[in-house]
Amino acid sequence: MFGWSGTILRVNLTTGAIRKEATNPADTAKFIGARGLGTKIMVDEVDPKVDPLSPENKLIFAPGPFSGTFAPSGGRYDVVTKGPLTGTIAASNSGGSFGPELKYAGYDLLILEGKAAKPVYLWIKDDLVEIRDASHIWGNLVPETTELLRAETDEEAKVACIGPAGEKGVLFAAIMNDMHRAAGRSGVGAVMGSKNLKAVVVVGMGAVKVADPKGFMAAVEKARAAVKLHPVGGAGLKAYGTDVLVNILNETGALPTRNFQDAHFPTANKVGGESLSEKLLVRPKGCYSCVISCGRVTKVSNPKYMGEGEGPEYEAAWCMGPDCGIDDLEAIVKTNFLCNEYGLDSITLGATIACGMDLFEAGHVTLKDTGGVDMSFGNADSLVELTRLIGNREGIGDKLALGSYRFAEGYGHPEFSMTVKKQEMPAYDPRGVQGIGLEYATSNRGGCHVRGYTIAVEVLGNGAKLDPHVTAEKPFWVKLFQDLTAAIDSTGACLFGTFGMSGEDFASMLTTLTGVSYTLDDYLKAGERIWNLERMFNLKAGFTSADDNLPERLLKCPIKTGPSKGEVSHLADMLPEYYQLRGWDEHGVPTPEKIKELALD
Amino acid sequence: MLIKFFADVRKFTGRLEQEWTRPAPTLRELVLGLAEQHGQAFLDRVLPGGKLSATIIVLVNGQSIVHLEGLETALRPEDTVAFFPMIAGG
Amino acid sequence: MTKLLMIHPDKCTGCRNCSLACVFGHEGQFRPAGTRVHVYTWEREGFSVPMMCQQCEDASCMKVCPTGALHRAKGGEVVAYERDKCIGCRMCTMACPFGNAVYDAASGSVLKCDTCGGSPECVRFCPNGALEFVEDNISTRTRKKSFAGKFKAALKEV
Repeated sequence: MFGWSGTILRVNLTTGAIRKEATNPADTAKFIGARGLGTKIMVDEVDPKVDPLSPENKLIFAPGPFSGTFAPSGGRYDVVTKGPLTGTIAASNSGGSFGPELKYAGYDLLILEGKAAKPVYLWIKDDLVEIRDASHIWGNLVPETTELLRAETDEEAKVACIGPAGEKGVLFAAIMNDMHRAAGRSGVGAVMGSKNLKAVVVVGMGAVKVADPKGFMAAVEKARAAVKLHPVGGAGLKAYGTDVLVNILNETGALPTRNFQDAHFPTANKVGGESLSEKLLVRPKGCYSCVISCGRVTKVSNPKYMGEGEGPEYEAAWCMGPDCGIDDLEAIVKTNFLCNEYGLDSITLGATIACGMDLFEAGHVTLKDTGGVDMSFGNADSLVELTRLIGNREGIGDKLALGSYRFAEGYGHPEFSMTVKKQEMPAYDPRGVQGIGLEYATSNRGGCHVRGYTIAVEVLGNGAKLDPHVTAEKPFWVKLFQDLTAAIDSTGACLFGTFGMSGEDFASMLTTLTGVSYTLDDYLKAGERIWNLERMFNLKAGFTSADDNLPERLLKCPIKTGPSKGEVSHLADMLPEYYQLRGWDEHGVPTPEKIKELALD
Repeated sequence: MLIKFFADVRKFTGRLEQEWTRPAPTLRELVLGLAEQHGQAFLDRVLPGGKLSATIIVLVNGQSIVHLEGLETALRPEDTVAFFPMIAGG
Repeated sequence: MTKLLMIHPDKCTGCRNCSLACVFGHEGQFRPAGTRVHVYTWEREGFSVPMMCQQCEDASCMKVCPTGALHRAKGGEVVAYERDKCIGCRMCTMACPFGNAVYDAASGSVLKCDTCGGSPECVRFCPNGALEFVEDNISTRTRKKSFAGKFKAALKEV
């Protein structure tokens, strides 16, 4: 095969059986790879009602056809499973170098089944696949784990692993790769921990082949030039990182503040990308084959929050900052380092602490409950301490480790949890930006922005320039972004390529790489198909249209201050039209006609 | 009138924000006034050839001028005007 | 006038576009074991360095090569490699003080930078200006000027 490696590796951790199967070209034509292909396996092989932390759940490491090539920026992969935080299908996307290495080793998918009797790690070098004892590294933080495993396999091996958080079943534990990159959301790290799998270590000596090398090179050159010319992909992201978004969201009045009590934070500039670049940035970092380099290598020298590593991204700076009422950049950067070391989703971590702070200030959680930790908004020391407690599941951290919904529910006030389908909403207030609220409500993995990132057109004026305060046309845009994103995710490409690249660029690179023809229509259709496939898994898991909703606070409580003062979310004005555009009935169920049209029957 | 500058726009003005007390009935006049203070480089970045740059976003009290009256948007002394380059993230 | 491949590790972000461009240019596929440009990253510090053959004037690899497979044409810019003369003894890989000559078992040949015939793909593909192919008399100009710029900034403040 071209583009794809042609082999699927299946490892049963209960029996130790290791099998290799041929990648099915019928599946790759329809679902491309990565998110799409991994989801197809889940739909075919896993009962949607399965307990995510049981051995019957599967964990799939899934690069795409672009992974391992220099399609910009094409080095990404997904971890696909049923997410323990949400109970939905989960596909967590990550960068770094791990995905390409799996391709070089010869695999389009690595499917992990069952559960090992004791802690193990998987060592892969091309055809060689070994399940090895990991009891001597169980308990280690991610950086130490990475170094220890490289020392006993290959110094240049690529490592994907969990930290203590995944081992202890924190419901939002992440899988980290290349030390600082995260398959962050929905608790994929907890699934890995539940299988007693500490790490996957890979060396690949093989090749990713190209069907039409001349055509591929031409398509790549065109795409690269477009990204370099674009102000965002070409310069902005490298200079400031994604954290540059803090100020524009604040100036728009849509920066969720203190657990969405408000949407404007007067000292936001202290935690934005400009301040980060000025004060704590060491240099930019790029993932494999990236032309943008939005990664931040950072360092804090202040002994109080000393550390080095990467990040924070916008989402992390927001949820550890304004969402908690905190404007201490060093504390935020330190907290982000801790998330990478323990293996925690930064968004759920920050937003769960913010929820805890809200409950604490309302008197529903007391100092006795917290073991003396002052969980007032704005307490930066507590932010750092709570992160360690969560990573180790100690004290109040043990309860916070369940995520904000179960935490708030445990204290009798689930309405304080700013989640959709139990996953915390990210850094855009739906009362100030209407379309993103529809994305949060309908995303197949719960509160998520990235899979239907209408912020690009509602706030950032990237392409179309829509008014964030209106609901008109938003269902169309949400669907378009969701479909295109599903296709791009499934290709193994980074979404930031869209700053410059068009859908046609993706489709033509995919065609010349694989030798399988994709027009733009085919590409978007594949995205729509993958979206519907995920939806169908969730419906069978027990989700209904009642779950396509937003917290009461966003529907009923107007923003208190700032430029979007007085606004609420008008989700109800958008949802019915969204279902219609999707070809679903009024209960949000894909109709038989839609299923047939997408060849999902 | 409070004027704020973000990301690389700050390079042209050397500051995060400033008070503007001279009359500026429309955004266009404000930009021209700021250019007088901050120089040709600022003017070239924001208003190349007399038109708003495609890679500049201007918010007046949090609203993009694309949904107001563009450069002819009327301004009042109590307004806040923010200049951003085109940026993104996730 | 000789052109030299200069590396600027301070600008390297570890993206490895150079390695990918190198192997694709030579083989038309993405086989990292076949690259002549290797990037090393220290993950904790986030520091990366691209490494390739330095085309030494007085090359150790040429000295130890028993067949002349590694040689420099008169006035040539590069230490050239003739696969047909190579006996696979790998003495060159041991003689190179930088480790820049690498033996690739899969192809049975020594891999070292050949500047892609004078138009290096790695330089073309680097998005960050970390690789430069530049005349010898101005080879360190970028680096010198970049540092000189610090004086300009410092004095401007005073």
